[in-house]
Amino acid sequence: MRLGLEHPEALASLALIAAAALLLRKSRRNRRRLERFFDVEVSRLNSLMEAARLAALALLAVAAAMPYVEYTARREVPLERVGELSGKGVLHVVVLDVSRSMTYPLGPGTRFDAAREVLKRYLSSLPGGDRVHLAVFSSSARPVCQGAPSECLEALGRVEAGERYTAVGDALLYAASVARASALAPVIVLVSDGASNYGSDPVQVAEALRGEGLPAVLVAVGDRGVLPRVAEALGARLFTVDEFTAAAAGSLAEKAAAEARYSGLAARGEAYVEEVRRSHVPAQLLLAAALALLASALLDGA
Amino acid sequence: MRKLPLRWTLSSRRAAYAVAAAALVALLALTYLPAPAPRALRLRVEDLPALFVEAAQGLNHSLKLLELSTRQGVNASSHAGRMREVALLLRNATELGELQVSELGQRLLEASGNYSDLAMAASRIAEAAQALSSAREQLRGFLEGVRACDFGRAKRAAPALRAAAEEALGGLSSALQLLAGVREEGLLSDSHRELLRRAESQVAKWVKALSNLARAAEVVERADQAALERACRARGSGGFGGDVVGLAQSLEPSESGEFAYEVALVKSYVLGKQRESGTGVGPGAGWGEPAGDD
Repeated sequence: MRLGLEHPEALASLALIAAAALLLRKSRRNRRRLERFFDVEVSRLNSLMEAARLAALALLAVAAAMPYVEYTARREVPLERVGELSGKGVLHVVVLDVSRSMTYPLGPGTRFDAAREVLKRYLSSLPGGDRVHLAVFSSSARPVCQGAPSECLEALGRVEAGERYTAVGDALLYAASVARASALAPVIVLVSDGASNYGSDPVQVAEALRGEGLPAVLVAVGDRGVLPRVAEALGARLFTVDEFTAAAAGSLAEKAAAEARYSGLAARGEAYVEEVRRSHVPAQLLLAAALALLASALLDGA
Repeated sequence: MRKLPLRWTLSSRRAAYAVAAAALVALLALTYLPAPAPRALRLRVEDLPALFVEAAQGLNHSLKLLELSTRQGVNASSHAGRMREVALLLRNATELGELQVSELGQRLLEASGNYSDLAMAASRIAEAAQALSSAREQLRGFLEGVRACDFGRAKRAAPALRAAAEEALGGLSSALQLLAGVREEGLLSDSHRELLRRAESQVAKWVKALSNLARAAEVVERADQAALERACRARGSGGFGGDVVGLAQSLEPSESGEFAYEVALVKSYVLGKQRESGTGVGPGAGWGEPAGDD
């Protein structure tokens, strides 16, 4: 907390009030001499009223300088203003399906082409302070890149699909283990066609992960398969890439990234910004006190 | 000891205090009340360059307000008003007789018409931003409803959203016409010419995006809610009327800007082939043989 003045130049008027006080002191001295000379007594209450008026004027002068208290306040940020949280780092644990079903056609290319396009745009939209753990999965998951979004963007260009089996449940378990160990706020991003045919039951895994409060965003490519039920079990947002939404890859990726960053930060209680605010309550209190003092002193019948 | 009446001795001092207090209250008013923005009331030749710059800066500011309008609230009314004022002042520059007499005067006169159009376009864009900002809650309700298969919510938000989108479209179309009428060579700096090109391109994109958004809202308004929910949750076939299908076919997600994903989803729900939800879970390691290895 810090005190300050919006208009310190207004304090210059205090010099005039100080001069008035000096004149008053001098007149009081003269008055005492007159009292002694003429053997009379002037009411002492009058001196008090004079002092009150001067004090009121001094308070007005200080109030005119507009004193304030500066303090730091925390403001929760809603999802639609997630851009305000770009200074806070998030770890995106991206698990990308590279099974053979991802090579099936989707629009002008394959499911994998569409997934890679969305992920490229997703990574491009992340702030430089975020970190990415990119892994691919088929029958098991393995890391491909760990680092800044731009580094993983390059690694993503080298990934190919066409492997046997799709273990969505195991991919989720892998992502969760990476997320749990993260110092940054983590979020799991699963990109798959949901044709799970290997390993752990993805819905059961999702239910278990929900209990841990691990945030996740799912991107279904082509057929959605098991992913709607996994999303429901995880309490995660599901984005869909099909022959229509593939044309909106940029908008989709931007929204998925915003949702992922926000859910990651919110799960760690970090979806807020701290801002410096100024309160002018001191100025208002001074003003009220000065006006009250001035009114009582001026209305006094002395 | 005698007591002296003091009323006569204090009256002049009280008057001095009252004057001092009044002076301090005036000082308070000066420091507490915000200074009003300077306004050009009557146009003079020497005001023209400043008004040209204000028109260009105003257009730039309107474009920023437009970008922010759907993401966070903006208050664009006063800006729209000021830009209208600048446009009218510049439009009246033809009445300045001194401009007719010199070559520079002629150039300024021609530029005034162009900058007047820039300022009026800025006003229209700011009005459109205000309309969109006012419908932000409905926009969010519609987009979230479409994403989350909550078509009750999306349907409730659609009429007000469509009205706001159409109001904004009217303003932006008018701005686009004004900008198209501005002669680039009639602007006085390269940065203003660059701004004109950027404004035309940005406003044109918004016109397309809002037009698609309004049509997507109309699709959701007209389509059967249960059919939309079935399509979204991949648990049934379409069952949409011909008018809805026709309207959905006219949607262009790639031209829908920041609403592209939701517009594409609406198109997909109405026109997409039936998605199979299935269990998606096949037997795998530890709990049976996989049906396929894809």
